[in-house]
Amino acid sequence: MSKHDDIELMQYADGELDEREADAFAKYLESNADARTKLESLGQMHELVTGSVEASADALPDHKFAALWHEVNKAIDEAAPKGIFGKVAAWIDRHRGHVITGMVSAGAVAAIALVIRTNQDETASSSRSSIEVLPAAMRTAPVVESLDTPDGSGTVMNFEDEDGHTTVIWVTPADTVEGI
Amino acid sequence: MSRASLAALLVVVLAPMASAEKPVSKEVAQRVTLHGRRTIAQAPPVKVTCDVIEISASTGKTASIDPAIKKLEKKLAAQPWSFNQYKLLSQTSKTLEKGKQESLGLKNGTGTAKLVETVDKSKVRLTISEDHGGKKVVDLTQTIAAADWLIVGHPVPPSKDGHLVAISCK
Repeated sequence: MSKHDDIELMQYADGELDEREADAFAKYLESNADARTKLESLGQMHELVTGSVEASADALPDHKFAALWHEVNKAIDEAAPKGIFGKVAAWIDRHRGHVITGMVSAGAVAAIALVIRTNQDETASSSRSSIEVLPAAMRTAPVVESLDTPDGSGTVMNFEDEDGHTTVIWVTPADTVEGI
Repeated sequence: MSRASLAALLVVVLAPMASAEKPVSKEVAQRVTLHGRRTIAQAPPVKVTCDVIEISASTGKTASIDPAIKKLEKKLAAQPWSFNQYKLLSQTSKTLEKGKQESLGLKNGTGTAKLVETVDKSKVRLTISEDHGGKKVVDLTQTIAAADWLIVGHPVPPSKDGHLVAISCK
């Protein structure tokens, strides 16, 4: 086989050559007795192998074949999840990566939210005053309810401007000759 | 994934949602645990925040005021005293809780303030005391509106300088 080798012969036998190649190889076979002999041998071997496999399959009893299929079906059924919980668990199993990522993200967000909420509460609580500031015009004048200056005298002065009232209590020691 | 893992997942996801729906805030009511079993609502503590400014006042040729107390310039200038120079000695913000005496943290002398009560939700009744040189200078109780100012002053012998403590609460 100078022009056509054994691989091409096997491809021809298996019908794998295209039409043009097959025609060329057929012409080659007409002129080459050795190639024809090899082709016949390949055909015989193919028939032998195919016949043996089919005979083995035919020899298997039907009940054994049915039992084999039953085992296959049973294995498939057992692998399938049962009930809603099983289906949910199977879904989570299939998306394990996404679930873990989601859990970590949700945990982080929850932690941040709780920290922020706590800080806001604490800030609001600590900064919240028990009194409110009225506009200066609506405020009443301050009232000094008691004033004790053990070693001197006290002078109380009230002033009012656009910002509100200012009370000044000036304490003059008893031994001071000058006033303010 | 086991049932325990699935339950943990549900807890992680649902816990923040449950927390976010809590209707009770700390401002409304504080929960106090009694013997680890029961809780009762308790009113939040009454407290106010007061600015305390300590000033050294003196008389000089030219008027001057520390930039940090510029907001008090008009009030100080309106007083019938001869001081025209004001220097900041200390400035603090004190949170006064009803019935609790707080130190004013003065640089010269010592002083305390106590919130006696709040009046009409817009005024505070304060007790202020100040000692200087080991002697009681003043002890007073005054009701003052929020954001108004109370200034307590006295001379500092032997100089003719003055020592002022200005207080305003909100």
